Amino acid sequence: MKATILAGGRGTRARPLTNTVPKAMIPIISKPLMEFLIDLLKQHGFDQIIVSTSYLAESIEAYFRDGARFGVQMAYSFEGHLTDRHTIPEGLGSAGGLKKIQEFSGFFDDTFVVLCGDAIIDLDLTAALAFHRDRKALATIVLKDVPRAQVGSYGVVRTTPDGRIVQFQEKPSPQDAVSTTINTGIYFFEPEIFDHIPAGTAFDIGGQLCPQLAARGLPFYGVTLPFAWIDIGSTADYWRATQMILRGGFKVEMPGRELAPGIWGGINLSVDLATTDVRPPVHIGSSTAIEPGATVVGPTVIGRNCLIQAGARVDACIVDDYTRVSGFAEVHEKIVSGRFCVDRDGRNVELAATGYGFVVDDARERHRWSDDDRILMEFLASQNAPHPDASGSSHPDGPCYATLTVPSRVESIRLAAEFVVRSARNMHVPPAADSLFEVAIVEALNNALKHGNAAQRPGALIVCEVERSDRRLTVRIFDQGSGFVLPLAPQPEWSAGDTSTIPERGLGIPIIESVFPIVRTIGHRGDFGVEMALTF
Amino acid sequence: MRIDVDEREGVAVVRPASERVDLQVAGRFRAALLQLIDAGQRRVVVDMGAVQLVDSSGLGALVSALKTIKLVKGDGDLRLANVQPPVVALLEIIRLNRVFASYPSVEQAVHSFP
Repeated sequence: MKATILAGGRGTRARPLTNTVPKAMIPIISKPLMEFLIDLLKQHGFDQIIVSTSYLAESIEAYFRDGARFGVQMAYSFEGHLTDRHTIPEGLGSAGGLKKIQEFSGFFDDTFVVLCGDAIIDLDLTAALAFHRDRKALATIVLKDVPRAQVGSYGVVRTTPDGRIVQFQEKPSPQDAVSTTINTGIYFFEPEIFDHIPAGTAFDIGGQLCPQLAARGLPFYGVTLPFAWIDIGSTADYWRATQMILRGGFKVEMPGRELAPGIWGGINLSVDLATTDVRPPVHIGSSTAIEPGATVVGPTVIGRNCLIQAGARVDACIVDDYTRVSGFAEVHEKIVSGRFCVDRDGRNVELAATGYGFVVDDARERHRWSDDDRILMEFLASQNAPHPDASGSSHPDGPCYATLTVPSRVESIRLAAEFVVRSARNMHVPPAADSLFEVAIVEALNNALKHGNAAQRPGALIVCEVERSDRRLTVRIFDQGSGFVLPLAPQPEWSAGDTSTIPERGLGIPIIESVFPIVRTIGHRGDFGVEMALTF
Repeated sequence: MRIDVDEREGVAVVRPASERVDLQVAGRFRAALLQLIDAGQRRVVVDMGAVQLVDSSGLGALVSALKTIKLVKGDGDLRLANVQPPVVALLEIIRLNRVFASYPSVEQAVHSFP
C-alpha cells in the first residue's frame, strides 16, 4: 500500500533545533522522528512511501535513501528549486504537493494514507483503514479530543453519530469552535480525492480541502481510536516528549543496552557508574565520556561524542551530540548543544554567542581563553569548592532523588503521600517532620487525581518525584490530564499557624503554598504536573 | 551605554541603562563599579531591570567588583535587583545565583543591607 509523509516544513516554532536539521530529523532519544513513522507504516503494510521535502531535504534523503534499510521503498518529491545552491521552497500546500505527485506519475492508484512528519503516533493504521473502507469514504481523518483552550491550533470537526463530518473549521477561536474534536493530520484518501484538488496552485488539506469536502456533503468521515499522539510542533513540545518517553509514558525500544536499571548506553563509553552519579532514566549515546564527579539526573538524554566534565550537573536535559558540559555548569530542564541552549519552554539562554564557551561548548572546539575568561573561571572554581554552610557544619548529604509511579486511584494517595514524606525525611529535610507537610502533599495528589486525571482513560498514572539539592527540596507530582491554571480555587484568608481557621473546602493550593513557597504548574500536553519547592 | 548611579540610604544603586552588558560596554561598567568601591562604597545594588543579556565580560565586571568589595572584611556586598528571566537562567547555569544575592526590586535590595 502507498503512503505519503509531509516533511517539507521549515519548523519555525522548533528553532533553534531546526536551524540545522528539518523537523522530521529531530532525534527522539537517538532515532529521527520520521523513522518512527516509517516503522509504523511498514508494520501496517504501507511499503511504498513518498516523502514531500523542501527545507534541508538532503538530510532526509541521506538518512533514508531508498528505504531498503527500513524494509520499504521510498521516494522524494522536492517542493522547491535551487538558486545558488539555496533551497527556495515552492508553497504548493499539503494538497497541492499530493496533486503534483499524482500528475507526475499517477502514483496514488488505491486507498492511501497521509501522515505529518512532525508527530510520533502509535495508531492502529489497519483499524483506521478498515473504518475508512467500511464507510466507503472518499476521505477519512483521524480525530482526537483536546481541551477547549487548545482547539485554536487545529482543525475542529462536527460529526454525525456514525462518524460523518458535517462541518470542518480550520483553527477556530475556542469560543467559536463547534466541538473539541480535532484533526490530527492523519488522512486516508481514495484516488478520486484528486478531483477536488485544483492543479498548479497552492492548496492546503486542512485549510481548504477538508472544509470543502464537509460543505459539499461528500463521504467524508472522522474516526476516533485510542492512540498516543506526540506532536512535536515546538521546542517545548520536544523537551516534554523526550521527558515523557524516558519516563515510560510512550513505549519505544531504547537503543543500546541497559547498563544498570533505567540507564541505557551505546558502545565505546567512558562512564564508570560506580564513581559517577547517574540517576535513571538516562540514555547515553556512543563515544561519550562522563567524568567521575559529574552528576546526571534523569530523565536525561546525552547524545553521542559528548563530554560531561567533573563537577557538572545535568538534570532533566537533552544534550545534543558533540556537546561539552564543563564542571562549571548546572543545567536543569534545558536542551543544550555547542550552538545553543534553550529552556524547557523554548526560551533561548544566550551561551554560545556571548562568550560562555568555557561553560558549555562543542566538544571538538579548541579554545584559547582570554584573561577575563580565566579570571571568571578561577572565581567559579573557587565558588564550586565544597564550603561549610551558615551553621558551620557541612552538608551531610549530596543531592538526592527519588521517584514513584502509582495508578491514578483514590487508594494510591496514601501510599504516594507516605512515599514523598518518607523520602523527604530520608533526605534530612526538616519540614518533612511537620504534619502540614504531609497535608500539602496529599492536597497536591488529590489535585492530580481530581483535576488532572479526571475523565482520563483507565490506566492513568500519577508520578511523584522528590529531589533535594543543597538546602532545597523540590516535589513534583505529574498526572496525565491537560492541566489547570493556578490558582484553582478562591483563596480565603486564613492563618497558617492556627489550624482552626482553615476552611474545609477550596484550600488545596493555599495549604500547599503555606508549606512550599514556590508552587508552579509544569508541562502542558499529555504529561502535566505541579512543582513545589522549599528551602530550609 | 549610560550607567546611572544613585545613592539611597547609604547604598549605591547602579543601573546599566542597556539591554546588553557585553564586551562593548563591560570595560566602562567595570570602571564605574570599581570607581565607587575605590571611593569607599561597600554596599552596592546593581539594578538589572533593563538588562536582557550579560556576556562573560559583563559578568566578569560584576565578579571583579564583588571580589574587590569582599577584600575588606565587613558587611559589604554587591547585590542584584530586578534580574530579568534570561539573565536569571544564565546565573543558574553557572551557579552564580548562589554568589550574588538577588531581589525582586531595588527597594528590597537596598533594605536587605543591615
